[in-house]
Amino acid sequence: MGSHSFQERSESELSDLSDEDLIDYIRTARAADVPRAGNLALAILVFAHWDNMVARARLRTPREEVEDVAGQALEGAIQSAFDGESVGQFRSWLNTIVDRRVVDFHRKQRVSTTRIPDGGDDEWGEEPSIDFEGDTVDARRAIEAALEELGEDHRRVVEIYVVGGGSARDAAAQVESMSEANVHQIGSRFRRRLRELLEGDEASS
Amino acid sequence: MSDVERLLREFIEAHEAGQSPDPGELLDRAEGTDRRELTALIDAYLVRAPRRRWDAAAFKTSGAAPVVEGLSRSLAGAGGTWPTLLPRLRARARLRRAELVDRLAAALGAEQRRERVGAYYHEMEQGLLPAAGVSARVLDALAAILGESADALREAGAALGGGPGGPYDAAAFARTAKADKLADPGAADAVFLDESLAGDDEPPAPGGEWDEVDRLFRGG
Repeated sequence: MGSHSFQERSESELSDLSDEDLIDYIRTARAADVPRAGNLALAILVFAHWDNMVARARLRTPREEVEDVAGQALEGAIQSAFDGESVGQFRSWLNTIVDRRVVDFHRKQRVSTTRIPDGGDDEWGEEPSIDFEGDTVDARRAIEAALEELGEDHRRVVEIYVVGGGSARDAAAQVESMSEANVHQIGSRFRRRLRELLEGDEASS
Repeated sequence: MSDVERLLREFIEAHEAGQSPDPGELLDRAEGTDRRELTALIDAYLVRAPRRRWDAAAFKTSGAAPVVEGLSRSLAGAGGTWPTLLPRLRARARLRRAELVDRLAAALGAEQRRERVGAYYHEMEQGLLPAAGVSARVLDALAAILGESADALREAGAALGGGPGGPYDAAAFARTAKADKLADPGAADAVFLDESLAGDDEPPAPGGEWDEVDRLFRGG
């Protein structure tokens, strides 16, 4: 395929594309031998998810490891996208891969590593201390189980009000026939159920 | 509002203000079931949280930049994910590149050709060396040094998604990338188009005579 079939987009246009459209664009740029365009799209895609993946990794891995875990997850998800092995939406797949890398980390119980410092390839920083005990709770599984028990409207309320950072007023406004009082009740019940699931998980572990 | 709710709101507000709050610090302020609930709720928020809007300046100083650099080499190169995997394994093994090359040359019985071994290993990390040409003996030796299986290294070397993969296509990519960079030095993506891609370690001339080290790294 020649570059004539590839239409380069501006930085601003690329930043408005969905994950899937960015991946398509990278693939097309690559096929058209326009690597610079593809690399910009790749940077936008990785940057878009970087902070969220680092924070997710940080919930269950020591500080020294989070960028390594997040980097491996992003590399794996993008590799899957180009190998045709990813399942469903990129973001959902990426979240799944992060969970796997966190599990891998705890399974291996490997020694922490240090990033190569900016000063050069052949310099090492001090070895970080290893004082973190990983939390093995499957938090995501508990949340998803609690959400699956809810009807569509109540689930929407929880996604806006409990885990979305929205106010009770926001949730009431966005879900039909929902009062702010109902939103508070649904939120309280959801959190009670979540704690039950987490305590049950703790008791069985 | 419970402590868990308050800490969750604190995290979300900081995150949505464009900061990068450390969830570990918030978790340290809760105990027992509260801590586990907070972990679950922050995780649920992050799974659904908005993507970060592109910011070229912030990207350059973020941890995302080296990831993109390795990925761009992997996507353009002939060595699959070696450009991301090999440096990570080397870091995990706490080996400087020079130390790794010393050990690799010794394992291959090529101490006298250490510089050549080093140049080839550099090409592997840069995605410039076609994986198909790298012999099992090299992969076995590298695997032993890096604490990984030879099969995993071989699998990682497969070109991504039917990528270029041909002999030294990646070097051609690197020259293109450098030309792009020179033409537009202010380009947002220039930060990860490393100068080292641009052919300081050219492969041996195709018509040149191969020695044992060339055969080990290029003969399959």
